[in-house]
Amino acid sequence: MKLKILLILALLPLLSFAGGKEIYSENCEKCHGFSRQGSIGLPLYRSTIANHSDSYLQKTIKYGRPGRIMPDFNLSDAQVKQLIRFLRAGKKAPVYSDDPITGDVGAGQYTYEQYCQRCHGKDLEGGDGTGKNFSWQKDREVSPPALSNQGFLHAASDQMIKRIIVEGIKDTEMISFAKEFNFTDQMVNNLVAYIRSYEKPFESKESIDEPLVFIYESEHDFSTTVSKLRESASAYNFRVYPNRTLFEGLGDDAEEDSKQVVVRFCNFKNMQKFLKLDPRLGVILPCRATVLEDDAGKVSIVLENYKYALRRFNNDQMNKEADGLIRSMKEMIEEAVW
Amino acid sequence: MVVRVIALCAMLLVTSVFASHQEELLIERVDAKFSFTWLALDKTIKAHNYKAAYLQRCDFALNERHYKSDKYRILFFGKYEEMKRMSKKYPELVPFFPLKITVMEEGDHTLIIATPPIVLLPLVKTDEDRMIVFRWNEDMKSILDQVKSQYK
Repeated sequence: MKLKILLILALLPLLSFAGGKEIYSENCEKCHGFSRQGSIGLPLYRSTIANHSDSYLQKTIKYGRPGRIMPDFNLSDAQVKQLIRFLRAGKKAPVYSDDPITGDVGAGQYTYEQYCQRCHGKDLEGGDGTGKNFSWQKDREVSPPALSNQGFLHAASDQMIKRIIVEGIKDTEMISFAKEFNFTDQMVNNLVAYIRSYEKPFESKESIDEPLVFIYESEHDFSTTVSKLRESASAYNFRVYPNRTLFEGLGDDAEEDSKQVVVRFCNFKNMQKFLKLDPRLGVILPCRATVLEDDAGKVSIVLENYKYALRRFNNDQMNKEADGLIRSMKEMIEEAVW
Repeated sequence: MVVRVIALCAMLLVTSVFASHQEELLIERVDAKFSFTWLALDKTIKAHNYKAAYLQRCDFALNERHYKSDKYRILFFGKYEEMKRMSKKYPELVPFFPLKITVMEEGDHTLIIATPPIVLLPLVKTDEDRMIVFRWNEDMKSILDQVKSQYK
């Protein structure tokens, strides 16, 4: 009898992980990997979250990182708890007081510029690209987090940030600054105050005040419009692929389908640049515009408004870089239809 | 008729409650190398009564440019008659035809990624057409899920 009770007690921690693994598999493994090794998202090893409080993990799951890939998750409190228990795998959660840390923001900025900026960026914007991406041979194993991200600042308490600066994060490039550089308590407090100075009220996502699709009426006949679009794309430094009819490979109504032609184009330099920022780019590749002729003989060019597509990446770096490209695509088509 | 109305109500409820999450990219991680995933994807698309149209390689010289993998392709697929009818009725839909799934190798795994077709909902006007878009969305999710399940 005693043996049975002991056995049950020994297995209790395992039972408490039940459910968490499924929640992880359903929601997290696509970005953080089967073994939590990191991929599009950061590694989530037991050791890498050892300094993170439960409250920090809860808020991170609930609010995500706006503009920094990690989305917000619509999980119940009970599911979040199960998930965190699974991630901790028996390791105890650290507890931090909510006491804010006061310090000299100016002095903190100086320390930041000397020690932290190299990895976390001038404006605390973090490293380029996604968490730990196996596709891109980066100079770093893991992209350094954005400390100015409102999701991070909302989730992390001052005391937790302090502990991480002092102790570092195991199995990552975040070293212990107390050990390696003899940071004093005051230096760390100043640094925390500087990081905290970036916190702003939480903003909801801005809506895009533009149509989902742009339609440009052409002044030319169908084949002239296709030719002019191809010429215009080349002039805008795009490599233009052979034309395809819209449903090529799907059906065989050759005559009707010939009035729906897709012009595909790509600027390889830009493609490489965007792939570095987000490997999921393929969902909007290749850039394309479709030339249509309706039954009345009216010719138009239809272009997807890529701003909506980019918003799905939750990646501010991509949005910033893409603005000029989207503008030039629109100009390119305006030239073709004129 | 009653079933269709109930289905539509359920669809509208789901889309309004989870509006922001509906628009996120659909991603699944498959525990298999690229070539196996590609085959499974082709088979699963057919099993859902879609036809694979063509593939677009985006892996040109990726290895030479320091990518760890050069397996990065996009598979286009669709239903000819249905999409042709929709493109006639709603020219705004043509930039999104055929549907596509991006396949990229990552170490021993493969990621399959797609835009959820439900983002096209604002472009169609009738309940019947909304049902079609909703079905595409469910099919897309089911295809990704089934490919993943084959290597679980």
